[in-house]
Amino acid sequence: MKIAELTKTFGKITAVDTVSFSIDQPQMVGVIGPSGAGKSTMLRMINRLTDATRGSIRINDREILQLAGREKRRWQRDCAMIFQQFNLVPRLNVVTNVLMGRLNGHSTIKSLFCVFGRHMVDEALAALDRLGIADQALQRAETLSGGQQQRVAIARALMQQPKMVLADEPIASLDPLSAEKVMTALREIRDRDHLTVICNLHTLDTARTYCDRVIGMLQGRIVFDDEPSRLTPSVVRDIYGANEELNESMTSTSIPGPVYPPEPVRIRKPALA
Amino acid sequence: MASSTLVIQPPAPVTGSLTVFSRIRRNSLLVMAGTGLTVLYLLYTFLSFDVWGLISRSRPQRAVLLATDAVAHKVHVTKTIRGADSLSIAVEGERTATYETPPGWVTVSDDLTRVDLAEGFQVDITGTHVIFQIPDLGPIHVRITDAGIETTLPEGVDPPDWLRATPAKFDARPTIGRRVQVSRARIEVHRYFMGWENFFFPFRSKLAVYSPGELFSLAFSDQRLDPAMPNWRLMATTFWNNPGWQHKQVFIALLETFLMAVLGTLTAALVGLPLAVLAAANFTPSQALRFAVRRLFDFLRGIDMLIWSLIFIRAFGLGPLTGALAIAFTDTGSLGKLFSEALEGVNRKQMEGVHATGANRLQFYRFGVIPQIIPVFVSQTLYYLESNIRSATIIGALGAGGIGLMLVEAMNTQRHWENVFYLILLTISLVMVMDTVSAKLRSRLIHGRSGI
Repeated sequence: MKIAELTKTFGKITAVDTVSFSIDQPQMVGVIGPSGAGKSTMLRMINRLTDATRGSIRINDREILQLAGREKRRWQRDCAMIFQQFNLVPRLNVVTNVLMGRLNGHSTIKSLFCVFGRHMVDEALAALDRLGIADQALQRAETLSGGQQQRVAIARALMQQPKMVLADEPIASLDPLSAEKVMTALREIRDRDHLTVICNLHTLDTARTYCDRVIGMLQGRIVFDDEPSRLTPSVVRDIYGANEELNESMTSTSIPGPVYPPEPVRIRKPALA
Repeated sequence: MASSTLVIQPPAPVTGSLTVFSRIRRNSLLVMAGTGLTVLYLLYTFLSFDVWGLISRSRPQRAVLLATDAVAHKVHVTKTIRGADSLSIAVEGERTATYETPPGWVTVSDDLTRVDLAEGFQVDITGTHVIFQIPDLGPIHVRITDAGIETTLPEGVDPPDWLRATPAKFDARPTIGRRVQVSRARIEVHRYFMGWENFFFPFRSKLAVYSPGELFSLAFSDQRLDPAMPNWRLMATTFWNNPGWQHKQVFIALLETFLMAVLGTLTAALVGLPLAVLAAANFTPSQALRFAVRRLFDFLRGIDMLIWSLIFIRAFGLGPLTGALAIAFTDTGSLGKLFSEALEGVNRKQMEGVHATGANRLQFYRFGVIPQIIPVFVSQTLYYLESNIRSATIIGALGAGGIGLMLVEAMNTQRHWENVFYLILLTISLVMVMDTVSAKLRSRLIHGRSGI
């Protein structure tokens, strides 16, 4: 995959600014950067949830940004997306949510009536089993914990039989234990299925532990693109744009809450108009 | 342990406490003013609608009479004076329900007919002379003469208020369940009995004479009352074709009303949903289209169902389909508005999740949108269905048919209040059944294990 000069502007704001990089072999890429750096917008442009303003994304000499209609939808199935808020349909049961990964390619009439063949259901169950939640197959998605829901979302992604997996802050709303399970599952997609996984993260330690390559973004631009071992404190400081000394724990999920001294009660008298 | 007294020191006022206090004071003044205005308004309406006059003019006795008629039936003992001198005893005075032999409480001898009205009340008829025995009052003599009707009360008794005696007519009703009327043409005695007469089988039917126990054993007996069919079938057909209570017609009418409501509501829901998509801001970018659809909803809803049905009765004539159309028109407006509001409140995240899998437009609606509005769709549609059963009764009364029309006809005859009461009971039970069924359906669909 080769991304060149990818740009997205919202009015006067440039969210993603002439981003270029390429991925030659299956690898796990972590994208880090402060919020507002354009990480999500970039992933959404790759999946075509958001249209790019300029630039190109080419895979095997096929221009992804030019795809439309049926071909665009087929591409969306090929690059499965995982979201921070899981984006499952909460009222539907888990297995139906997973089966939705195969909507593209399934007959419209059949899907309107929720008709799925035996082999498809078996496949969905196998995907759930791989993530260790086959027991919950018939529960409504909304009854599951956050970590379980994210694993359902990964099962849905697997059901898409994707060529690539995009994950937009997949562990940002999870507790550390669930986060580890989800990251392990994503890493397994890279190791077992040999697929590229691009994963937006906001914790440096996670990027270090799971990724083969880290891309650092700041204000829409790529400011770092190398192995995680090259992430030195000075590089991190550049990425997060911090002037004073930046402690690694600041970007970790386990920040101890600061203690503020209690302030005296003051009620401000509203100003008379 | 030494005991000590707790002294609460008023705290030093916090800066700005006066502002907080005045806010709270203003709130309490607002509440008091609101309550005061409501009371004033009620007082004004009480005076301007002349509620005192209404109460003083009300006639609770008529209500008691109607209530009695609804749960009791009367047997007429009628003696015709002119022409052939004849005596007939009939339920509700109907020719089809005339006793062949007098019941036990009427004794007929050569020239005396004695009607026992129980508890000491008794009427003796000899020719044109009637003696009405009333306990604690004594006998009232009534004679039909050429000069008119001549009434003689026992000596020293003032005419009671339940008695109307003029030379043209004598009418006495000492209690709710006893009445004697005498005119120059006939003498009529009414005795009331609790219960609905001949509810199951018509008066003339062979089955009318049996008790429930006998009927039960007869139903499975091999000895056929009618050689053409087994007894249980005879019972069923006799009941079904009962001419007084018209069970068959009532059932058909009830079904008609129910179908009118179902057809109307279902049409409204199925037409309202796609229109609601056009009226929802997050699905239809065109403001002009949205405006047009919303005004259409307002128009449909703004004209009341009754007005629509009057219009459609003019246009398409009487019939249940007309009623269904009126319901469909009004409720397309109401349900469309409700659905479009529900659609505007949908969660984008799950829609995006479906979109990102490469689903096409219809699949996107099916899995991204429909599951989210199913709860509103189901519960509102069921609620409207329930409420439309009541509306269909009223529309039916206008001429669209069904139980409403039957009810109005029964009310118009003025005589069969028990029929009116029966039809009202049936309508209420239909609404109650619908309520139970829809509650079950709703919870099954909304809270059930797997959604749609």
